[in-house]
Amino acid sequence: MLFFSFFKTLVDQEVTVELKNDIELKGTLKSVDQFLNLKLDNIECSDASKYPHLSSVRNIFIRGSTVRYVYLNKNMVDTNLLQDAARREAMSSKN
Amino acid sequence: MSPLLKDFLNKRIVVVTTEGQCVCATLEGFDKSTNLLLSEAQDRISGSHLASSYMVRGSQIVCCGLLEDGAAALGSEETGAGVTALKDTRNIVEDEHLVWKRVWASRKQ
Amino acid sequence: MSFFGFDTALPGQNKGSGRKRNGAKKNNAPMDFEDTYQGLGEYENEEDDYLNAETFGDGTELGADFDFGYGRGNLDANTSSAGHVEQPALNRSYASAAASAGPGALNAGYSLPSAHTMDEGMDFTPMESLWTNQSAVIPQQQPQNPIPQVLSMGEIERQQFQQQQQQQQHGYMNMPPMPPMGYGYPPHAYGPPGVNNTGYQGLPQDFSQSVPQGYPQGLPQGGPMAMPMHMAPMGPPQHYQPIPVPMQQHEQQTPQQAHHQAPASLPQEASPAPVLSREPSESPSSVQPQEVVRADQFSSVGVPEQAFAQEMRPPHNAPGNRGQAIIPDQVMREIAPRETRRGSMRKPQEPLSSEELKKLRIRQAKVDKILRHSGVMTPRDKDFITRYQLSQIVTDDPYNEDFYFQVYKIIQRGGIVGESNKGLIARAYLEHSGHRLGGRYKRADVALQRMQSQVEKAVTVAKERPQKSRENLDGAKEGVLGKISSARNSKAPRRQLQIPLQKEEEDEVTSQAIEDVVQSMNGVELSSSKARRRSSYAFRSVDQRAVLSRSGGRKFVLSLIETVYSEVLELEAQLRSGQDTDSSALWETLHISDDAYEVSPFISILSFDKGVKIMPRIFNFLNKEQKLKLLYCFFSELSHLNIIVTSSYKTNPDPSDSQLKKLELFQSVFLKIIVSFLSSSAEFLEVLGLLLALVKNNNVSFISTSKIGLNLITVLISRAALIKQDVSRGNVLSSMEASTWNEIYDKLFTALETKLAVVFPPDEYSSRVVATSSSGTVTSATVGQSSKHQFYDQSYIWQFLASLALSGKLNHQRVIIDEIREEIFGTISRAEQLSSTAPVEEQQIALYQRDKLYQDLNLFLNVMGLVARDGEISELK
Repeated sequence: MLFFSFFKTLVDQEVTVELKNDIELKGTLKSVDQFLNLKLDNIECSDASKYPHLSSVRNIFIRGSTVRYVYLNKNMVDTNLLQDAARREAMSSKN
Repeated sequence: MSPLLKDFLNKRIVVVTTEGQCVCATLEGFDKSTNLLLSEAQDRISGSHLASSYMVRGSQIVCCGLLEDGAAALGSEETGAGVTALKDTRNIVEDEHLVWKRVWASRKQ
Repeated sequence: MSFFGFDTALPGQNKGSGRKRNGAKKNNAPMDFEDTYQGLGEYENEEDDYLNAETFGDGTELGADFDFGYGRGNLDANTSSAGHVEQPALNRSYASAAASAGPGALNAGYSLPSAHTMDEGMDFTPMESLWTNQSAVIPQQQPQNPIPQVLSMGEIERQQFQQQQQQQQHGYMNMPPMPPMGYGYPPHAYGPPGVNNTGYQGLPQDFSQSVPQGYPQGLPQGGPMAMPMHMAPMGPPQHYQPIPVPMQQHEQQTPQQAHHQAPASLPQEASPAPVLSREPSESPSSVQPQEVVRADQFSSVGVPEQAFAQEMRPPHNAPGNRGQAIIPDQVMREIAPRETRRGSMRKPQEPLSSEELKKLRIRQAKVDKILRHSGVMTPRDKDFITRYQLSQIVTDDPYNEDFYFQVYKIIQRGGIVGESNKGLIARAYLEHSGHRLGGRYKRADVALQRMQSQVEKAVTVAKERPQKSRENLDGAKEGVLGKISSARNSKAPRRQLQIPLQKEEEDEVTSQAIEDVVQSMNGVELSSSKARRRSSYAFRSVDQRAVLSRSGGRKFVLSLIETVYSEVLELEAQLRSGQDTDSSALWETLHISDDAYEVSPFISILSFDKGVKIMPRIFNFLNKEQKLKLLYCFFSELSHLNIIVTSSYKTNPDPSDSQLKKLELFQSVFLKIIVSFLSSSAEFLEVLGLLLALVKNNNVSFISTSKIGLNLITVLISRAALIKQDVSRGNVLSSMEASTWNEIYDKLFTALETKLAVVFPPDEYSSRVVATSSSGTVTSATVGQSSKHQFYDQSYIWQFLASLALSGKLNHQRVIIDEIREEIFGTISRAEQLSSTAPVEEQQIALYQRDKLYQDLNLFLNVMGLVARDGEISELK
């Protein structure tokens, strides 16, 4: 649940999602679920001329399994806290 | 269960599949694995009618975008020509059976 | 083997089943199940089964059309067909009477419902009576009957399915899902009268409940089945009566039935009756026993279930099914009452009025809707899923699951997220972990500021002292700093830095305690120094591998850190839950008094950022003694500390950005701990002990070339000076304390003497640090708005010198001034240059920097009653 928890903190932030089919979508993260499916609003395709497939689409659902990267702004992450959370998770899964 | 797709219900959406297919359809239903039940499916690129009822398995879904009102299918204007094909992201090994053949052969020896 | 013990030589059985379906389809009210199972029930498909002949007889043709659909047509068909089918089967095998009803009758019935009902006549009626209630009885009865005896696999499956559904719905939770085995055992079900017995029960029970009609017919005619049937009637008069009634009703209703499925729904009431009635027959005592038996049977034996399923079966497709589904509940609740009712009620009942029928139909429709997907999952399935879902939601530590999000939000919103439980927990986390203090929003130089304020405070105290002591100092410094313009003159000589007089009347107890402290410190020191080779030299390599390898290796240290983390997290969890915390395990993992390694693993832990970051949280759980030991270890092995090596301009003349960041981190985290510990809880002697550890075991002059090292020394001596000042103001400083301090100070001073100037890093180093840090993140080493005007902040050096001078005697101060005279004048000239050379537009910045330089310098000069301003040094006024 760590990543779910993590992505929840990114809601309403602007992120760029790179899909495994090389499409890059930049938009505001609206929601995420436990499969890390993402929902972006106001998306912008980084190469719209090459991929017109998503033209006239603003609100998009992205299946978590097809995400290659999510680019974040550095200040969206509290690394110390994330480390702690990761340790907690590791500990709890051990028990 | 994931409610993320709920907003798209009964609306026209664009579905990109792992094969690189781009389908325009009305979302009739979904489940937590993102299996989709679509209706009035047509190819987004060519605009050709695919099926009146269309089921896509969740594992084949890349993304589903909500089509803005009044958006025309790409195909109707561009007939699909010149549109870069989307990458196929299925993990398919070409001639996989041959590979396995070899593996088994080597194992027998 | 014969199915249900019947000699099924009936003709057209297969056909019959097929017909049923067809009928259902035609009616357009097919059950889902039917659709699902279509084709499975076809005997045609199974004709090659080697048991077919034995089971059904050769070339048998079942004339009965079984319609399990809900449609009206189905009903009709069912009623008629059911009756026919059963009769034929029963008749042929067992009864002669039934024979007449034969296939032909069935067929006829199919087309003409009414006729069927008529044909079925007596036999059926009793069963119907069982099934139907007063009102419902009429129409429903028939539909239910038909199927039971000649069941195709598909049908059986359906029945079971229904049964399951019913059970589930009605609270037959105990009953396990129908095992497929059941099918194999049909014979049992058909078995003899021993209805109640587990082996045979299946039939009787079933019959009574669901199939009543069908069985009754067959039974009466003859064969084993007959027994139960007869018995039942025999039983309580009540039951008996019902039977006849149904018959009548049946006949009357049959015509209606087709139209009124609704009544079928009523069967609930009716159905219970049958069950009751039958059972009573065998065990007149009460109806309940039957039920009980059933449950047992179901749970224990597959066969009974089957039977049950069969019973249920007939109804499932047809209205009967619905009725059954409903029935169980009612049965459960009302069994006893119903029996009585039936007896009395049935006769009186008249055919339902159209309104009633309508109501019933509506109700039926509702029930259908509800039942449509019922039974898809067994109760166990549902239970499993529910539990699984709950497990997803509920955990032992809910806050664990969403830890990052919860805490992050609180940090973002400044700690106010409502009073939710999670919010409180998260806040507790922040407090325990000191996250906010050590977090990324904290200014890196808070610790430094604190240290600085400590020094300033000490200096201020010194300034406030009677100024008499100045004169001497002036005289002493006269030659060193040149002519000092003094407002004072020799008439008001300044006293030397005051050293408290030794008090003869020492408190015994106190001295004893001090003795102990010193003793214990010495003890620690001795033991560890024996075990380890104390290095008084510094490692001249920034490469930390050398040190790591001497404290167990990198891997070991890293795993140690993780162990420490888990211990701390565990302790914090205990703290949150209000438990008492025991830090002994944590203490063990720190390996502070572990002599097995040349360099304490604890020192190596501090080589890693994450090891440094956890320190404040460790300190939350250590008691004072442990903290002291930890710090003692720390100061003793300071030379091994990676951060000292990397922050010394001698060993690392060209620090990288990441190294500077590390330095910042260490200062902001660990130095802060030390400062706060020293200022809050450390006794004078303890401070001295730490200082002693530092001086004795390390090359002090090397350490003083490192910013961190110098800061650490500053912290110790300035703290000692502060305490001493406090003491001199009122408290008593024991002679031993005073002498110890003097001794230690002398040692420190000796170590630094003649090398004091090395605390100033060379210009190349300073400019490099400035260049590096200006390209990277801003560090406390730089001050200034533009990179052009950034310069190396030497305030920490002046703080050190001020602290040193503060605690020294006059001759110490003289030595200090003598050694760093160059730097003093250099600073002054730099300050003056700044203001004169800076371009107009940057005058502001230059002025600020100039003030800063003077400010730093004066911190030191003030200790000696001097002040530097505007390019010259004058006496402090």
